[in-house]
Amino acid sequence: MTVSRAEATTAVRPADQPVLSVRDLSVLLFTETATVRAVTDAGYDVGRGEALAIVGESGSGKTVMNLAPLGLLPGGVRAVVGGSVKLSGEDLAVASEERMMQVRGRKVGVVFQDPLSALNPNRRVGPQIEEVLQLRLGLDRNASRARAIELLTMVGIPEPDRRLRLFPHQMSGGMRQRVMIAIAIAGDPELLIADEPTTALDVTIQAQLLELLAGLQRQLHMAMVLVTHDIGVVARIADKVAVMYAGTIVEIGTVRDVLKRPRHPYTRALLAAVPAPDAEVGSRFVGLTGSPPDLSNPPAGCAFAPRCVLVQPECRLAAPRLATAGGDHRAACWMTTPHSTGDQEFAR
Amino acid sequence: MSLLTVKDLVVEFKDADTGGVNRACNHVSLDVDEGEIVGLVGESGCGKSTLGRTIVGLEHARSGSITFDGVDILSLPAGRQRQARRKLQYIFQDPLAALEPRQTVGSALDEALIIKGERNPRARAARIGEILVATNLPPGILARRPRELSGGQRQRVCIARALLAEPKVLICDEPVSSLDMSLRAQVMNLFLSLRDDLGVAIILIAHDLSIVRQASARVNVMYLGRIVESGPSAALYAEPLHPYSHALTSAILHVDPDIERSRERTVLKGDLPSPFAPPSGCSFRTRCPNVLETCAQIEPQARVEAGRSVRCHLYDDVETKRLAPAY
Repeated sequence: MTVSRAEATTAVRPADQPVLSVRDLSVLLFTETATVRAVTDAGYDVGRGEALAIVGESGSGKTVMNLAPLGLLPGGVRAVVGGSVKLSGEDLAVASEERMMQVRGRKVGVVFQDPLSALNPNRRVGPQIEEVLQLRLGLDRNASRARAIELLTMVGIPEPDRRLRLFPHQMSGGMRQRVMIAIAIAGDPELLIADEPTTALDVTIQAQLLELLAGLQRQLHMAMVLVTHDIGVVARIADKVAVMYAGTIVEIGTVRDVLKRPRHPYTRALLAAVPAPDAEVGSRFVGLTGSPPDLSNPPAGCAFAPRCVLVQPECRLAAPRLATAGGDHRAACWMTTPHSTGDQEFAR
Repeated sequence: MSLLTVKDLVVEFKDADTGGVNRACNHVSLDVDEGEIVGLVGESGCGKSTLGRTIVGLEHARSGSITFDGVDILSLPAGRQRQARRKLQYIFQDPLAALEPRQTVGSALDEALIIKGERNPRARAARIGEILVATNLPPGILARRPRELSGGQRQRVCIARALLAEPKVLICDEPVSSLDMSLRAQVMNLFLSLRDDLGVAIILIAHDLSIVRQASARVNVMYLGRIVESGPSAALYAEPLHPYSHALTSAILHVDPDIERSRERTVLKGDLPSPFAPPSGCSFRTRCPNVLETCAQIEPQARVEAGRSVRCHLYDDVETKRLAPAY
């Protein structure tokens, strides 16, 4: 099967109101030994039929930024989440826990990196999907069985009747992730939250799942927020991208703006670290020295300063905020994107 | 003659419950020259790690030979094999699991030299100093424990420890896959310098195809226990011969959205078959976009020409002296 994603370049024009609108998001996580500022003052919008990718490395806060606004942080995590979160205009910051459960069930689908942890290992796959359909959509037994078969077909699982009788461990990793996607789209959600959905899979299976996810997202006009560490994934399926470093968005914009005209030195470093397909065999690899800062004790000034090739003394004094680099393309860097007036709305 | 020659190696695992047999390495042959970096790529269950582990003696070979530095290792009595493999060192994927958590880096390195038989503490300290320079680690690291180090530093400590044995071949199993992209360069560049400065040969086992391409002079592609294609890496990536190599290289994503979205991408159908019940004939036929009738009946033999080798029926009747993609 040969797949071209040329059609993706003509981005779907989002409706006026974003599906998800996040402003001033800050998340404090309490671990046994420390308080970690996992996300600081983050803001982003995702429209209908639009895919926003969040990229960054381990510990950058990308997963927390994706999960916290919808109350999806794993149970047992002690956190304080501040800021405003609107889902189709509804303010979730003031929603009751009961309302949040409803919203998560009906309007939001979630795909995690590891489907084994999200599926009940002791129950067959069929009843797990059907239960979701009965709870979320109020379908009866027959209707939910029929819809489950339909969903498995949509996610490319052959012989769905037979597969519904399998336990999760009887399926391959790729098949389990397809089941997770089926459950995620079961309630016809407006928003799909995906956290490294293909990372744990083999490369040829990653390719399958990536095309499936992108296809469904467009076919069902869902807004999607996708966390990934793989910039190639961003280039292939996302419309917009936010680059995270040390808990803050350091650059955000359309995929073409950010990947082809990167402003932030960290974005540039991330792009340079991906081996070029025509790099000379035996040539040296490009990377970064040093490590990201400890977020339980963040440094003053720009968090990237200790690793930055463009660093100047003033970078260590105050942290730069996002400033426009042209249109919706924003970067937080004193050196490449000096602040001008009138672009502070997102930076607040 | 090559520094390391693996010939017709067969390694099998038995499932104790079902009695089924997984032939993880099915008549695998591989050459590594002095100072050469050889890549080994493939997906989980293809046998690439088993091959590496068998070379260093972590798994038992059922048949075949491993010749290292002129010595046919598997023909030696078990007691002498260990000594013959001293200069073959293995680097694991997870450096945290490979290091003793309570032991300082200094003590771990010192211990490796004591095991090697170096009794003079001053000579050991001098040697450790040299190794720190070679692996680009600061002297202050000796007092620290694995948990206090960054991922890249930990992996370099593992490499430093392996280097104390003065290896001729390092077998590196997914050495950077636990590291973030921006930190992989420091470990990969260390391998390149060790090759240049010390002449160490490296077998680089990885699923990240673009890293293997840039580091390795030659690449071997494995699928269900077989090497299905091998050749110079630039040629293999530019013009993969086997349909499986084609799918793997097609899975490498470009970071330029315009290039990435306009290119044709080959996506394989279906899952990897169970290695306990591989398909008849060519084991790739169940997922192959170019499958022929003979593929189910006859297992293709390796066809070798001009430094490239491929195991695929598409090349049975090709008459040229230079193999080119036939799909």
